[in-house]
Amino acid sequence: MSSTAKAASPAPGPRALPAAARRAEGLRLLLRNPLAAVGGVTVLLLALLALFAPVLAPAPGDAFSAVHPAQQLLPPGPGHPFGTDELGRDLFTRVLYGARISLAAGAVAIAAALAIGVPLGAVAGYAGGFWDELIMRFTDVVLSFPSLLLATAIAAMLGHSLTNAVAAIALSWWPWYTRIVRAQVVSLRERPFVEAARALGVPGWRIVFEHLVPNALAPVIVQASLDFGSVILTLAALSFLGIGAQPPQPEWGLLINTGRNFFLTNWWYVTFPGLAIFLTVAAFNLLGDGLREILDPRTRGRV
Amino acid sequence: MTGVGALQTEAAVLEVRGLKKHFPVRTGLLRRVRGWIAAVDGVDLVIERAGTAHGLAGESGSGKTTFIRTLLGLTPPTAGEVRFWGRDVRGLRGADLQAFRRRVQIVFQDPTGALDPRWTVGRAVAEPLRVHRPDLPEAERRARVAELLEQVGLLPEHARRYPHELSGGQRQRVVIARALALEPKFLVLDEPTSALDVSVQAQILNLLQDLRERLGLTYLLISHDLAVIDFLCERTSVMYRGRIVEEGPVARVLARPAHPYTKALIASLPRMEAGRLPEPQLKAGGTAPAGGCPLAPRCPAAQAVCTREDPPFIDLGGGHRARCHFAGEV
Amino acid sequence: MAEKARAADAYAVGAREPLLSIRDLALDIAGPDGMRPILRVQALDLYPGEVLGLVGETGSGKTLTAMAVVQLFPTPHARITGGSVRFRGRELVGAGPRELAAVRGRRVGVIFQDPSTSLNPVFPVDEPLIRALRIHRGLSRAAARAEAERLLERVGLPGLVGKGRYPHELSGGQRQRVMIALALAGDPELLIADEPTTALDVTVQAQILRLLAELQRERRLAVIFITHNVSLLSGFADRVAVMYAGDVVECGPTAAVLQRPQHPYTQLLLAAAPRLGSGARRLAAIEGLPPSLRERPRGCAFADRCPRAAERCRVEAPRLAPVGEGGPAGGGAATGDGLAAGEGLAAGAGHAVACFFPGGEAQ
Repeated sequence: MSSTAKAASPAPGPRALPAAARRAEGLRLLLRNPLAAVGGVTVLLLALLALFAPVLAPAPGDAFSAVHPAQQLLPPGPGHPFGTDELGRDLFTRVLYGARISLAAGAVAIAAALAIGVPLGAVAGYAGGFWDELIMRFTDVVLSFPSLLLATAIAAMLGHSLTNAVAAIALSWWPWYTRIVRAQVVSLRERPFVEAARALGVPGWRIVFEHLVPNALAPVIVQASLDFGSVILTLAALSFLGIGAQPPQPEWGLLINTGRNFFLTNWWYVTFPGLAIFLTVAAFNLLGDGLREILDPRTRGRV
Repeated sequence: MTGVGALQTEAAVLEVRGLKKHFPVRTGLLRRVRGWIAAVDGVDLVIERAGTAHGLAGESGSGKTTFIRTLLGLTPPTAGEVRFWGRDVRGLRGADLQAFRRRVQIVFQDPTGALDPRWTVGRAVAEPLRVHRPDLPEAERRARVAELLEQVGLLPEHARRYPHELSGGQRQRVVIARALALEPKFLVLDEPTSALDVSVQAQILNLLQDLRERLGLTYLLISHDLAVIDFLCERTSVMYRGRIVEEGPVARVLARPAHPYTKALIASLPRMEAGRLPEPQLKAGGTAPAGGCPLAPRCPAAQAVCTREDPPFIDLGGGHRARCHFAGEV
Repeated sequence: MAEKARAADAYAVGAREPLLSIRDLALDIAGPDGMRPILRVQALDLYPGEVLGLVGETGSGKTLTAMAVVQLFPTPHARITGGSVRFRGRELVGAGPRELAAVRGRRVGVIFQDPSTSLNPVFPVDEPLIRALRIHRGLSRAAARAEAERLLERVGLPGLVGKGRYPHELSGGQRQRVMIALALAGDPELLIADEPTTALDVTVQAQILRLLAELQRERRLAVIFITHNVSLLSGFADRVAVMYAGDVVECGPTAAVLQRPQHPYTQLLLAAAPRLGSGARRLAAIEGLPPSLRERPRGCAFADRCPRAAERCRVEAPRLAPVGEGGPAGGGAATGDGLAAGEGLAAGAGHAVACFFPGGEAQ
């Protein structure tokens, strides 16, 4: 190797950029987009609030069943920043615990939808032909129902509970990811590095899960973060309709449903859970838009 | 180790006979087949001796790419056979197919596209090892990757880099290292330097020359650049519209081209010392007559017979032959 | 022979005002860690009716240099930060949008490398041409159609107007012919051809080169022909400028530069290309890589890869200077030290090199 080793470029090359620096670059891009940064920080804050709810809440016992007859429907004030409900429970505590439910349920629903949707899309895109037709036509059937309606139907069928509502959302949501992944994989499939892997004798499943899926994920991540807000909203809607979370769970949609009875007399009851939903959905949308920009190779990769 | 391991030593390294690949032309709502396009239209190509390099010259649309894909079994042929070391590639399954993949590797034209952008160089070079020798311990695999990188003129440290952190020439070295990982005997080089700058092309061509001598590799070099073929190969074939139109020893074909298409290719090559513009000898476009010579409508020397009769190969001696009615005339 | 006559012409036009004159052009690109110097072009002149071959490898800055005339850069965030670009005697650095618009398309036509992406796929190919003729020459629709017909016929595509033919129906060579017609629509004085044949097959390349040479002669066009392939310039370009790492390292009449290259980079570049029938077993490769854009070397940009580099080359950047009269290697003391103020024109047309140790054995 003496003769060729000399041809080595001893310098580490001009375009060296370690992985850590690339992550820092991504973070920098995120922070440079002010709206995305607001979204990201808010999401982080919400997650922390949810995580430390038992510590932060003034009355952790009020999160579920508790009755304080003396403190019914108090307006916001010292001791009860969001006021109290008809059973005298601290609303701030309940909204805080609601964040735990909403974020966890959203994460589980999205993760489940991804777990179903991504492999199906990858297989459809890579295999083509019969499997592609079969998977995509089924996907189209599911997509032809409005997702809220479909989730409602599934949730009603499975029985009324938070777990079933999350399952219903996941079952109505996966086709979106299937579509995105399939489109990505179909275009990636023709790329030379896939052909190169085939020529090396790499088996199909390895090509799909080691080459195609990782390269197809960027738009999926963007979509998933945008969907997070919609999923939380859908869950709130299901709970509002009575087929999601059940009392005494402090789910936001359920809080609003109960609170609407007191809407004209006790404004704070619906306002604060409503604001929590609004804030969460908006934060995830901003974050998703920011991620879209960061992961877009056109805005990235500038020399 | 199995299957192809039982080589017939006297057999040619590569023997392609009557290889055809036709694609259906579908139109309309029902995607009915309206006709067929012959991307590869009856190719014969033989590489007798191990350790030699054979050129395949041709322009876009000549069917070079389809030919390679069929050769490597990435797409099934419509007709004809491909034999490596005497064994038909078509019937290969399981362990035999894996053995074939180990022995025959390809280096692609565009090193940027041929590497997964999310994989480090080390992971890319190790991929064939992980697939074909999964029992190899991690430490040994890493040592082998370092050895391969050094073999192609890179440093072991390059293993941690991502493709976008390397120059085009370095990327092509990575692609070559990956192709060499399983100690193949035969390399298909698909325009290995056409995406590279001249000075880098020289580095890669020198490297390929070295590797061939050191590892006893056999090359099939596909290129539109006759000068590159001239540098690396002993014999060459010239392809036009899915068929071989001329073949022979490189020096002979270049010095005394017998087919009008080969002549046009050579005349079109810009030359530094020429002091004049290259000569465009072929006329533009035109549809080939059914049953006649495919080059007839563009050929400057076409006669009436060319539009009527498909020319056979005419043997010019010394392993040189050309598929033109007038190949024998000087 | 023709080569000699052309070279003599190039010297003759040296007496005239250059059509385009670039001096100490500095162009930077904004990156995440501040502005990066991309171009530092000392001097480049182009005379009316002359073909200048701009040669360089990827990233040498040849396209950016030529595009400085129209100030349309393929890279976002590129900005001219200093120097002078004079076109027809007018300073274009710092010129307003109106002045630049008058130059673009009208005085200067551009042909790009890839004809398949330069044409909008949703319009018939005659459409942009007719539109350009109406905008640039103020023709009526009927007159523009007639002129488009004439132009397309001249580039070898007769009977294409009004046929509703779309880009995908044409071959690569035909699309490049359309692009040439488009570039000529404003009846420009200067044609910038950026690797116009790189995406084409060699047989088609030969046709397109011929066409460009014919049109250049007929219309007395000044042409900047950007290419990475020096061989294309032989018999076409009057003069050649070789670029490396954002600067012109050598320029002069084509025959002089190709046959008696003075800069070690030019010499290695010419030797690196495989030649038909040379019988060489090894090619002259240039080891290493061009310098990084982040940290420009203080001295000569080629020093790290140069077989002749000495101490001086690493601390001081050589200036473009005329090659000594006594033949190659002769004027060692006179070269590399830059142009005196009045020497600009002579260096523009004559053979000049930016190297402290020019000449030597051409490999």
